[in-house]
Amino acid sequence: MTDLSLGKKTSRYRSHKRAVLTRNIFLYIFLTIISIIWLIPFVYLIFQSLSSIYSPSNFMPYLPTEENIANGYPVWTFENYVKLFTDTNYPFWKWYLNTFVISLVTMIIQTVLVLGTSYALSRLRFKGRQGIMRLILVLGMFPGFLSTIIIYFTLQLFHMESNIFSLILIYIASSAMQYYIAKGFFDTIPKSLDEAAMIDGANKNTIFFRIIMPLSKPIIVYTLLISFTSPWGDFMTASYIAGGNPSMMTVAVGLQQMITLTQRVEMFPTFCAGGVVVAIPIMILFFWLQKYYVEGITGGAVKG
Amino acid sequence: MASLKLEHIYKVYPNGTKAVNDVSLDIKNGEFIVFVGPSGCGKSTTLRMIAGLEEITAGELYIDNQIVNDVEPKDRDIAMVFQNYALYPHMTVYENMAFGLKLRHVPDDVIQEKVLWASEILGIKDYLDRKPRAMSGGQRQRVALGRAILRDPKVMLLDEPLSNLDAKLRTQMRTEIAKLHQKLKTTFIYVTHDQVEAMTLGDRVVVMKAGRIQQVDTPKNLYDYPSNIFVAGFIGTPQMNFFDCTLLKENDDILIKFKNENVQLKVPYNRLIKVNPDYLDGKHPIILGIRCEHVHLTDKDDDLAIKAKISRFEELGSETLIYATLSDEDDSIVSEKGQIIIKSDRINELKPNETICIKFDLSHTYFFDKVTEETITPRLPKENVFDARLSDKELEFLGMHFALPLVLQGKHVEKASLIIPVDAFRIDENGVCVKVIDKEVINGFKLYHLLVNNRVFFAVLNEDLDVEAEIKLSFDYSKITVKKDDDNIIKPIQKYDEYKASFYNYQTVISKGDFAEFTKLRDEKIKSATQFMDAQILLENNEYEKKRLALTDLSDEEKSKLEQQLKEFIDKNRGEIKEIKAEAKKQSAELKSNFTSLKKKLKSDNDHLFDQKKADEIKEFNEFKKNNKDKDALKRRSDEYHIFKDNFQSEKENTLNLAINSATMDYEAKISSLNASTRRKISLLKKEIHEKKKEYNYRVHGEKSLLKEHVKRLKILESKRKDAIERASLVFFFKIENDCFALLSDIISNKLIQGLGTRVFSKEFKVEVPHDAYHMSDSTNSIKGTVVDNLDYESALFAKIKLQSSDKYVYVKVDESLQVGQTVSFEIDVSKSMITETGMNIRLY
Repeated sequence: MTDLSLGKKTSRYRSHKRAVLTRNIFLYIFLTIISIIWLIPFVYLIFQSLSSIYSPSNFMPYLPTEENIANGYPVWTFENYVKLFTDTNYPFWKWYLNTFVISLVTMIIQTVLVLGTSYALSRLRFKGRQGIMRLILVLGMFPGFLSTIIIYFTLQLFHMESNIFSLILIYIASSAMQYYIAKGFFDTIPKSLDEAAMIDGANKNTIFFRIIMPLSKPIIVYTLLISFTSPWGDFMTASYIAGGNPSMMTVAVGLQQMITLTQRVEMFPTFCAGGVVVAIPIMILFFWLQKYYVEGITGGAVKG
Repeated sequence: MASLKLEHIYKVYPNGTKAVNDVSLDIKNGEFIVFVGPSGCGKSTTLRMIAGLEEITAGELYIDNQIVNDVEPKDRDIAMVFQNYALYPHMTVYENMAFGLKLRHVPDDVIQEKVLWASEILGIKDYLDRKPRAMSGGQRQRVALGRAILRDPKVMLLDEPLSNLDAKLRTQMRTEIAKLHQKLKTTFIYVTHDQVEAMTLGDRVVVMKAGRIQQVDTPKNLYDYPSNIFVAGFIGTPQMNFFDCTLLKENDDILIKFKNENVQLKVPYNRLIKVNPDYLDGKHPIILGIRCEHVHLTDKDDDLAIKAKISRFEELGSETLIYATLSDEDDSIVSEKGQIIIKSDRINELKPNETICIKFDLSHTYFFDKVTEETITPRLPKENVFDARLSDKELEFLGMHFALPLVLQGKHVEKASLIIPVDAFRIDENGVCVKVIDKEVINGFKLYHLLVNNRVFFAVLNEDLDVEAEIKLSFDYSKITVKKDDDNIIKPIQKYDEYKASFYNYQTVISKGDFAEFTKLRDEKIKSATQFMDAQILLENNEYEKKRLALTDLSDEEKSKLEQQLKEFIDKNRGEIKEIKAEAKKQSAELKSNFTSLKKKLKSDNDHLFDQKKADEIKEFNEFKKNNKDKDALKRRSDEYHIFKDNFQSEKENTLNLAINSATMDYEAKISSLNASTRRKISLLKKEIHEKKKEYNYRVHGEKSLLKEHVKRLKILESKRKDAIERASLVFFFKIENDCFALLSDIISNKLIQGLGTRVFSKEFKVEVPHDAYHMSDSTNSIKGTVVDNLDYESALFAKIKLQSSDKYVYVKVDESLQVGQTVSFEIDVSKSMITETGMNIRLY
């Protein structure tokens, strides 16, 4: 009897294996197709930025032979990148610096605010805590641009309507509203750690900076990334604060200027080059922070 | 080391739940107290209130005679061990233990010494540079214990420290904790839900249920004298056997009648002498409890034996539990009715369904009131009941005659029962002669068993008496009760008079009338506080002046010499730091290269091993195929071969990962140990530099640094002075019965305000005043009433007074009788009274 059941079991086991294999093959083919579709725009952007002339119908530039150039085909070139940084009509350097300063300052202040708020909402018990949390959630459901005009008039009252620091102000003003994910993370850190530190003689600051922060690297990294990328890529607020003044623009606004004007055809490859350059800092930031993005750092704090 | 005192502690949550309800407890210096109870009974909350992690709703907590209600946890000088250890995961064991001391700015060398001492005691010296995650549960809990004992706290709090460990480790750690307590002699407070831990560890055990303390006693007393059904059932395994029954006194015997089981027992009264006499009427429902070890099997079938039918056995190895039932009719499985557990070693002769005779050990039988669940055989009986006869001027009981005081005369009752509380007796030359037959000391009270005319009764006396001594005794007539068929013929005077009161502040009271004495009192209070603080400031000034004069100026040469020395020292230390850093870098690089090569080696070894395995399997399978022609066997073998092939890759990876993981763990531990020790050395050196600099500053710029410190201290004193004056100007009052204002002392008003906050003004209070807390007064601010009667008890004289403002009668103890009908005014001494908040029924003072 045992022999029989064993034989049956193993044969079923093998057929199951085969079914899994077939299913996986289809799944992987499907996923590969989707990822190719998803990657095409990026690849296209890079190729266009390396192309000598605007020719949207050609996916890839041709080799830079005499013949191809003579025929007017787009060929491989690096000139667009040079042009991007040297063109006097479009102060790309200036935009880049603007955006970088704004994003960096916003990133730092916003991270501090978000983490502080989240910790407070996670650990402190005060009247109206639930109410505040719900209110913030509801407020967050309104699209941000609804308040654009009011914000502009408010800034005008203080004569700050065309100033890159007012952009920083706008970005960080609502940073506490992003408490939700970080609060969820802090909720998973056992409260008894706080209490142990309290008895050890730590005040709230010490607990936050010396106990909680070292344990929260993943969420710090996450918050840093999010709060860097959102001003980095923001278009709407930046465009109305800039008000058409080229020295006040951020990269998003500037690049958009590049192709809305008459020289769209001429500037398109340069625009693509700008797009690639814009992606670089975020990539660097991500790869640099990624190593801190490891989980399981709380292991051993409490019974595991 | 410290003593602790909890006074009427409450914890009420905003939704009205009382998690802790009127907990009062005295904990002596160096005692090991265990809180035990089922989950949700408030034991952890109480501990957390002691730690300061939860706010105390009402009541006071004293550590070393200081109220610490509002003191932060870190300033209470306590240490706590948590159920889930709560170690800081990003720090090494050393840093974990040192964290508390570091925050208190203890010098690094002292920290190092202490950490080594604590780790030595707990046997974790080899793991100091590990991170918690690389340790086992028992080791982690030891680290947590180490962190706690390191600071040499006044009180150690342990919140279920062992419940996350497995059974064997738990027993081991239990012993270690007991040893630790013996070694440190600190006050330990330990919370657990495990009665074995409670019984084995505690000097005294606090049994809690539903936020209330059920009983506080030594483990032995808890076991021997449980104060209610809960404690009786909670302590001891298996649980105590309980039976519904009634007790009936028949002359010199007591009849125990079991309710459900149709069984009766007849017991001599003298064996159950402590049973509260109210319950001997055969009507009160009573629960009888007896532990399984006090039920014995017997062969004799006499008056004291009961028949039981065995239902099953439970072998425990060294002994056997017999489950039997007293009632024959009930055979259902779930029914606990009439079930009794007996401990026995005479198991071999018995079989299930056999009928046996059992006998109760009556000295270990407990009786509880079924309604209140309290014991009716208290260790300290409250009162004695006698059959008595009341004639005109005389009280007769136990064949003795007593002349009644004037106030009690004039009643005539033939057969009544006389109740005399145990504390109503006193030694008196004119009293009757009784014999002491036994003496017990219970919670500081001396309870004497006395004998007169073959009747035993109890008295609590202050005097030390020998057993067998003959003494003369009389009793306080104001405390006795005489009853005839539930009618009280003579009632004792209530212990307290009750008043309603509300809380007022100074301004309100002053605005209501002219109270010159209050104004004067307040001014004096402020004046004395001001004087005290001024004196302190003057002292500080003098001290500073003295120190300043003692300073000597250094010559420029000496100064430069000192500076030179300082520079040299700093350079030397910095050089050392550099060296240490370089060394650490070298070592870590070495470790890393070792680790990389080890990883490589592991991989190649693994590859080799699995290649070999694969080759073997293939070879074996091929041979099998060649030699074996049986189809079934071949198929089975082929399946086996395929399973092997499918799993081969993952198995290979798993094995490699396992090996690499353990290597990584080892490498990480080494690296973190290296880093930690480097950091420690460097910080020690840096600290030295800092201290040298400070010393240099003091020597060279002496006056400046002195002045700086002086100004700092002065500032603190100034703010203290301000505080003191402000505090002195706060005076509060009780308005009693809408009639008069009574000044509250600082202690009382502090307690009330601490307990209730600003709500104190809107609450109503009940003030219970003992009769001797009155004094006559003719001021306008006093309670007025009319004397209705004088009650003369010979030993004491009371005036019965009807209050003017309400229809209440109060009794005032007076020295000489007052004229009836006379109007008197008197004041209350609130500090002798009890104060209760009526809304939530919280006792505040």
